[in-house]
Amino acid sequence: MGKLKKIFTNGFIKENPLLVLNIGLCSALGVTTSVFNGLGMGFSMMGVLLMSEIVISIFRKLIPSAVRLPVFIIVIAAFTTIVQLVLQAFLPSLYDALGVFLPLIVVNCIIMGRVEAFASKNSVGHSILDALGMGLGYTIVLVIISLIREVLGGGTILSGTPFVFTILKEDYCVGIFNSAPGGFLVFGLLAAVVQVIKAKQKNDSQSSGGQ
Amino acid sequence: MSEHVGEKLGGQMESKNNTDTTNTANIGKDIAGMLRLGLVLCAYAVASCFVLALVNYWTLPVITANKLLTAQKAMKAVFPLAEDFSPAEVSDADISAAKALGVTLTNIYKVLEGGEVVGAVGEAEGATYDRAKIMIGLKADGTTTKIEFLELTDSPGFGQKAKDPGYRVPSGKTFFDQFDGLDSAKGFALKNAGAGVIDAISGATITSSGVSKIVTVAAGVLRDVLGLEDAETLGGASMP
Repeated sequence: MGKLKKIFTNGFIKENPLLVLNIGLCSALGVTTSVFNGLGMGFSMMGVLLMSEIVISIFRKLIPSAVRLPVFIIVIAAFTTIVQLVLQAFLPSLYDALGVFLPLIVVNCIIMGRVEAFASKNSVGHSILDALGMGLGYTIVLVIISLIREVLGGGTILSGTPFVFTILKEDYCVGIFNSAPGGFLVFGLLAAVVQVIKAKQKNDSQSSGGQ
Repeated sequence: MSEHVGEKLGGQMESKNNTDTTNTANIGKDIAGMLRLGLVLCAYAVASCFVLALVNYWTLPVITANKLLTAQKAMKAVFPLAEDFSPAEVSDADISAAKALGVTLTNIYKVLEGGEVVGAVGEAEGATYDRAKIMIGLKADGTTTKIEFLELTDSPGFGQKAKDPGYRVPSGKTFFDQFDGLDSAKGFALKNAGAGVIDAISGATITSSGVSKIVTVAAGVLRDVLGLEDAETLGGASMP
């Protein structure tokens, strides 16, 4: 039980794909100008990650190691296209909002990384937990970054949805948060916060272990 | 079994040191191993394609219906008072001239009000930073009514501002509202290109000039549909 919990929560802080492993940053910084985009990107990514990890771990013994990378790419690309088609059919506004970043999920290193490092070596159940944990870790970070950027840069919350409300007047918005440098600033600060939390956890466990 | 194949390929180097007879045998085995790898890869590709085909079969009708609805809404938006839209005859030369400039025109209609032609609408697709599909309406006198984005796949936070009703250019308008009521004979060049009329989106100049070019080319074709003279700027002013 403890092991399962460890696999699931691994992606939250300890091996958070964005803030600790520092992979998949391009799209993460690109789409996070509004919470709606962040959530949409997070869930699309999680969907592709989950399905890819399930399929790869089911077939892990039938994938020759010499061609495993091309096979992974085929599976990931297939699921990305499926997500793209389904969004285009049933959530066209999100499909439009994510634009070019949606097809780019194929080359998102988080998926490639988790499939190679985890799903190809572990059972289906564990892979599902890993995908959900990593996907949630990714989505939570995207939502936090986009919340900060949307409030400071655009002065709104949830723009792009019917529930949009304005917090800051346009005069008080900080334009830099709408562009890439603002994304890096927020990202860097969050990464620092996570390091502090990790260091604190380590200290705590060391001091309690010493007593 | 298939993992075995991988090991065999990995062990290729060692087998080179063996005697000639085993070497020939190994080459035969290696080719068989290669073929097997190819077949495995092929099997995964075929299975993926099959699943994709199924999903496409299931979503295509919905996507087509969505697109049609957006197009009809956009036609109504650019000509709110129109009673009827009738397909317009466009010369192939116009279409291919537009295509040569990188803009694809489809669904060109004449707009009818009280039985008279009061304008024309058309969908134009071309390159921006990525790609945009825009509905353009032109009145019979050659002035634009409106432009509407049917599709825009540029980056969120940058190019997407072109269709964002919350984004304002320095003149206080949205980017797309700048195209309302302009004389198409004078074109739609960007202000930073010299004597233009359109403010570019800061941080998304390529998107802005792409949209300006698509609208310019499309307006040129619509002018022909309406029997107006060619605009001087067609393919001129907004080209880089």
